[in-house]
Amino acid sequence: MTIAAIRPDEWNVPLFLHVLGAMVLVGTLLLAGIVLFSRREGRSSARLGFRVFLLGVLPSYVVMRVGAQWVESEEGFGDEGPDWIGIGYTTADIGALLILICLVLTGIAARRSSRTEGAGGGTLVRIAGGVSYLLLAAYVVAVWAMTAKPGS
Amino acid sequence: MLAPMSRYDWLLAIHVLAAFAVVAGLTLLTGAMLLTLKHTGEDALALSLTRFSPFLFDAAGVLILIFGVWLAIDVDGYELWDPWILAALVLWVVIAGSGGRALAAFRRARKETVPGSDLAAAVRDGRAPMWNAIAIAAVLVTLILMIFKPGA
Repeated sequence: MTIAAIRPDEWNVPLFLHVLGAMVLVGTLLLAGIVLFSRREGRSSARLGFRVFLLGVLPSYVVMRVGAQWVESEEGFGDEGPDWIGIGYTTADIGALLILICLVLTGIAARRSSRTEGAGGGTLVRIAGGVSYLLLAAYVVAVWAMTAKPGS
Repeated sequence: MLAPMSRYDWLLAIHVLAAFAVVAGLTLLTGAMLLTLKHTGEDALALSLTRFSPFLFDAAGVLILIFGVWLAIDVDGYELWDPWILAALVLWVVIAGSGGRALAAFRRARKETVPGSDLAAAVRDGRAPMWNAIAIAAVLVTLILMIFKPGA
């Protein structure tokens, strides 16, 4: 038998933002991956993929990350936090860099494809699609770490 | 070395990962809805997005229910008849029903529409936008219940 964990009420709003942002982030990363690898009769996926990153992945990442920082400041772990916080920060911070790289890649590919009427930017689109799936896998591990809290 | 996970840790991790999968399915469905209703000319992509959603909805939805009920029974301090858990069970039915109806509208449209026909009209006929909005609202309320646990 496990006893229900009681959280202080002050943690609920930031935790809600953190989880909501993370859920939408995972969903939009899956959407981006599917869009970027879709075969679309000579039309590039770059423009649509860029929009998914700009309007879906990036805002949800910001909400998730702000919520994470807010929760951590409420919990007051200090400099020596448990392992699962380390896993969370590592995936989040490397993820931020990779999301920005995907934004740049799909943005360049969208520009190329508009110049060449849909033909250009295929390699950049595939790289961004691969990174989306890589991030998705990393965030599944992060979700497991956030809930199971190994090392706590 | 990480500490071994308890049964509670595993139950919670699977429950939460399944919730992420359902939100991912809903994100794909919402993406398909936006592509269709905005007449982006991406009907084929929209229809292909809705092919992934049923798996995420059905499989993950069942996992959420099984592991959520298991958690409520296993954890000392929660009972299945707690108001917030009963409300979450009702919302699970609402999410499954509304999400299923929105997907059914796309499934019908996929079977009945021919190339060149108006997918947006076919999807609107099945009231898919309304069912999709209800599913999103129900997921948000469920997440609020899961985080804030009113009355627990």
